[in-house]
Amino acid sequence: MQTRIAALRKQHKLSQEELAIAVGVTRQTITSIEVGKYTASLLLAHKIAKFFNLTIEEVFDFTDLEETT
Amino acid sequence: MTAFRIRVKKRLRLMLVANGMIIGAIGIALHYSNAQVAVLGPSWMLGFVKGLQIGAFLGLQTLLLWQILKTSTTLRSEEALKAQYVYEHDERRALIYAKMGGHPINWTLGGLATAAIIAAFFDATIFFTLLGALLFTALIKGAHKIYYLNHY
Repeated sequence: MQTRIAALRKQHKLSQEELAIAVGVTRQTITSIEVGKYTASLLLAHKIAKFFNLTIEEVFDFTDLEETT
Repeated sequence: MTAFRIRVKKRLRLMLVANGMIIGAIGIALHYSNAQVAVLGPSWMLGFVKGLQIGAFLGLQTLLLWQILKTSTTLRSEEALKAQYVYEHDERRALIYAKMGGHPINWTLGGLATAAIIAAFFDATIFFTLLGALLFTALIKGAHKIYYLNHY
């Protein structure tokens, strides 16, 4: 799944570690989400979107998942 | 975080009890060395089984002592406790853990290890069979862990 997390982090001058602490996961989880290896749960997606003051759809691109279901 | 602190403290107490039990187990293993000669046959086999048994106990004890030290350090710092909480409740880690077998595979490994250690007191064939099953199960778990760590 494509996400805008890396771009948003750069925009807010945040490291993966800082974002991970803010949303309560490990840095590795943020890395995996950014490279598209891991799909965040609804709760984590909500936490990340809320952290950036955006909606889930503005952070995560569900197009790939919609095509496969 | 208070509930988690209580849980970690409980875990620390359990580890201390387990450590005491391992010391007892080493004592039993050393005490029954002579009795094992009769059931395990040749001396080289006794030496091998005995070495593996005592080695397993000592290895387990070293791991436990390391964990006890780590847990005590964690309990002293609020920041370390929070980091531990995040690590243990991380959703990606939980998914990988579930995919590689979760609690059932750990219980299986524990059961096989206990059975192998007990069998070492009575019969060499059963001991080696259980040891083979234990190593195979551990290999399956390890392979799945590596695969899913790279996959997710």
